[in-house]
Amino acid sequence: MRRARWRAPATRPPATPVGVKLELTHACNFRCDFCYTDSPRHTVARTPELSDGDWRVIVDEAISLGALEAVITGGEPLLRRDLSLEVIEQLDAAGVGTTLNTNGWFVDDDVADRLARCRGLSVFVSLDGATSATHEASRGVPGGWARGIAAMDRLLARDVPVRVVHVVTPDTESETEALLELGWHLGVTSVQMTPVVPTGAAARGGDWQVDAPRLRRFVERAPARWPGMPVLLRTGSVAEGLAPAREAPLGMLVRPTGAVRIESISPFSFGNAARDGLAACWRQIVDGFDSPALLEWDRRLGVMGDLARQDLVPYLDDDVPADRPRTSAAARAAVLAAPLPAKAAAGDSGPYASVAGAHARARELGLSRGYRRGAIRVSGEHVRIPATGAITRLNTAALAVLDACSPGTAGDAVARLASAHPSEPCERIERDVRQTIRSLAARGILRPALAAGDVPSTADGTVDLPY
Amino acid sequence: MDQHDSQDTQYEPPVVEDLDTAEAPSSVSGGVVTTIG
Repeated sequence: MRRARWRAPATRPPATPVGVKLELTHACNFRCDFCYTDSPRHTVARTPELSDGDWRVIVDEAISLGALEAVITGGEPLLRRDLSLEVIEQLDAAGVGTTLNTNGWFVDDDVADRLARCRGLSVFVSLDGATSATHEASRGVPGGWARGIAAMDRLLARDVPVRVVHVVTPDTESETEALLELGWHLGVTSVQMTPVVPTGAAARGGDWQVDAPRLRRFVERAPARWPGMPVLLRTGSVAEGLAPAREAPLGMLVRPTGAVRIESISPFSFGNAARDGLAACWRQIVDGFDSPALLEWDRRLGVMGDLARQDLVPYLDDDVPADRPRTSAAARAAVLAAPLPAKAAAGDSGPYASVAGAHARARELGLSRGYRRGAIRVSGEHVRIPATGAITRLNTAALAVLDACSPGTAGDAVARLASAHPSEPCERIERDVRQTIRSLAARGILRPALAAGDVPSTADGTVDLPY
Repeated sequence: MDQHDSQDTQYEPPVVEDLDTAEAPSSVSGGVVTTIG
């Protein structure tokens, strides 16, 4: 196991936080054994959390403090649907780059429509297996795969970036490659492979070690194999060797109770956002993040490389004030004895339980997604994108794809090229079309049909330009 | 070769090529970045 050498932070935090991570709720409808926030335990316990009004005040303050980025998470944040949407819209309107973490279950058309109007939003959707059998065995809820895939399709159809979070465990790693292939066919923006971080539920035990060199090879091969879909490997995980938080804090995390921490892998709290206000909590972080007791915890983490063996474990030890960084054996024992919800028995045998069936579904959704021209001006084989000033040249086949999708579906474009080249293997044409659509969409030349905003194209695809 | 094949032109994969517009709007000068697809 590789481990970074521990060193004390060499810099100071900024005067105001750059980012805020808001855990709007403890509750979750999934039952993951590795949940880093231990949400299944809190769901059963109905652990109290802040009111909508409290969160509105916190979000107002985050914006006025100058936060540039925000993460809306949980639990499953869309269990507090109206609150989640309201704060995402508020943050986006203020120009704060916002991320929503969700399992996708509650992303219906109405939610997707509202999220699509937030132009700076990315949505992270959990997907642990290529197949429903593997994903649902991991997440413990039947139907989770199809709901998650449907959520991704709804969001992609509206031009909302979808970043798949793939928790890699000994039980899911055999499907990682098939999952990446599925994501590419579905058209997802990127895939982040995340070996388990042993905090919260994952710190109760279990073997979370996975083949990290194999995951790194996927990262290296992704540009050629799944072009336009970056594949990332989250570092700082058990497979990589945990590095302590060696840099000065840039942001802050607000727990569902209002307790403020620096980040997810630090157990110490610095006041309560609802009681003290975010600004006062940030001052506590600035003054206290490098106190000797906290740096000692950090140093031990750097030496041990295993969060689960620390005397204080994030999300198992719920409230550890930074100025009294201790917990009791009784408190830890109570957490470990707390009831957990049962996972549904595995054994899904539906149409998506096999890799072939799951891939067929992803291809079907990808091929039926509709597109239209973006705000562009076309002259023969050349296209100008007024928003960027870029000019792009398309060859005959790329022009055929653009034409078939203006408006039309990816499937229409495949049919167009296949008709012109009947002896060409359809599988090759399909891959070329998918890659071309990614390429055109990345430049704003094509947009998903349900995307918000944008200037509608005229009949010939040329917009009214301001000159 | 049957009639079906005879109508099949050589397949050329889609190419999306960004032109150099560093001195735009009056200096388009050929492709510098080529992305297949």
